[in-house]
Amino acid sequence: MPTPNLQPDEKSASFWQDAWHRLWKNKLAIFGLLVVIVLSLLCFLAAPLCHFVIGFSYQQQNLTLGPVGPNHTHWLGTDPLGRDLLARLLYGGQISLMIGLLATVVSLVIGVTYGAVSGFAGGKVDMVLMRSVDILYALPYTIFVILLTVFFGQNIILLFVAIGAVQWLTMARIVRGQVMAIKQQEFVEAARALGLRRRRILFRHILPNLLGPIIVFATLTLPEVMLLEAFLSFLGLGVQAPHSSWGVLIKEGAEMMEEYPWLLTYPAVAMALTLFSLNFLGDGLRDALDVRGSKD
Amino acid sequence: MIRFVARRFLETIPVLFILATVTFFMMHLAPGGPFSSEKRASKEVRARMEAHYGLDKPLFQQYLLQMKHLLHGDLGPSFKYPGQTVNEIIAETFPVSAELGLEALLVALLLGLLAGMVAALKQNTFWDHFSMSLAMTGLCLPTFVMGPLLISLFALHLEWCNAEGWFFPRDRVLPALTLGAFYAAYVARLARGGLLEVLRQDFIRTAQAKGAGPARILFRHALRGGMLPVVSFLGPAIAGLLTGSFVVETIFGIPGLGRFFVTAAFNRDYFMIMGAVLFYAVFVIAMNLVVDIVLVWLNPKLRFE
Repeated sequence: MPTPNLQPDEKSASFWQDAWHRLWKNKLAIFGLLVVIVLSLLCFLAAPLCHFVIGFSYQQQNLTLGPVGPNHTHWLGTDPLGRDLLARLLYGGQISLMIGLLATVVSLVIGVTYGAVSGFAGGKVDMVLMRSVDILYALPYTIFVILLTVFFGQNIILLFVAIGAVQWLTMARIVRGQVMAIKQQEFVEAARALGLRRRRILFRHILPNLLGPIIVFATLTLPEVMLLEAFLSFLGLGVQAPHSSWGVLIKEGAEMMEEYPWLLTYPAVAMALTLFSLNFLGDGLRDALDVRGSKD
Repeated sequence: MIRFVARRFLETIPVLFILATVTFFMMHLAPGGPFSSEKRASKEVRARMEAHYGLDKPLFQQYLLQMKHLLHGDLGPSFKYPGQTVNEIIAETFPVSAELGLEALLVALLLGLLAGMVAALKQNTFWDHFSMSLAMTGLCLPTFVMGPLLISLFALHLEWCNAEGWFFPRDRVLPALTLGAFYAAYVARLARGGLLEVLRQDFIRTAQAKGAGPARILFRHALRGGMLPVVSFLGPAIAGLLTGSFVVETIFGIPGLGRFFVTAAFNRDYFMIMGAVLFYAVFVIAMNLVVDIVLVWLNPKLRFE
């Protein structure tokens, strides 16, 4: 946290400092931020944690043990193959969070570029680009996600890219609207009067002003992508064994819910907690950065 | 108004044409074919089946042929369900999905609007946090967790209704709740946001100053403007609800249209994919048109633009 300026001769707080102060006051958003940070750290330190703390690896089977509930050795219990659920949860989280991040970045890059070009160019280009987005909105995306996974095979990385590639539409619309509003402002005209090239005006002068909305919608896209990953796991198109993700764990847990409820409870709680936190953080950021958009 | 609707209708034609073209080439480019998974079929049998459906012709010729059939409203035969045309499958399963979708919509609107209104009127109180936390739960729980949870609670433990099937009115409750929960959560958040936006405005303060009660302010003054975000969301949402949900139909064993969106793509059932895509697209476009008309009706400002 930046220290507040108390000396009167220094310049006043910047936009980002103001935003941070507003965010800091929103306890739910800060709670969400903390949870996301802690969970991500735990998941990305899965390897050392499994080795030194938990004592089991995520694929170490113990068929004689089978499924047991939470106890002293296996804190969150084991699955029917006797694998430690906590270890699998951490590894699965690593993959789920990575899927979320990668797909969000992909959708961000496509959506921001597309929307910015469309809004900045205006006229016929804008019409054609936005009509294409309308057309893509009318596609049932399940069919296309399945066809994309067929194209790309069961490769995890490509799967993320495919998911990102169908998630960028809303981003493109939002960015376009913002660019159209900003390009009317005087500083853009000033830049143009200085003889700057269009690309430079767009990327150096207009886009930095969109950082707020982009951050907010990235935070809100992440949970959507993670839900999509869970849906793909339900279809059996998710991450393949021996790897797992929260989506896969939840799917397997839902199938054995009556016999071994802990197999559903913990993964579902982990995922719901993450999505909760991300959504609260996104809402808080929206208020702090005062972003208006199509979401609510 | 009539000119606006007529223009939108005309615009639909090229959109559907482009969609059909994109879908056609995308599904034919995808590796594998409709008959490649039938292991027992010998090469000759497969070749004859492909010839029967015209799949041995050059791709572009197939494209022209399918476009011709589509123009006549003929969606073609299904590979996976021999003897049934795609038209028949849709005609048979759509009413089921539409019924479930309408019931889920009812759930979404009743729960969502109620929660949204309570949260907006009691902003930053316990009731606001309570209903928004509920809504957030609805957004964060995947449908395929919500469904089994509801089944386990209401069908297996309380035994109020059946876990599966689609025969009695009671069978509608759990699927409608499962499907509607996510939409209810979305509606609640949008309604809260929209209402808060309106309640902040001057004309509401004027109404308060004139002595209008909270109920009158909400229903007579605020609701109309506050519903704008909900209405925009409902367009694509209704299209999605009425065309069925793979997850809900699988979990509850409902013979609806939604599962075809998944199985058709898995089976490379070309005509079924095309039929599903176009059917869905027509729905989305039609619903968006309805939404635009309703938005203009709700928001007179738009009439001048």
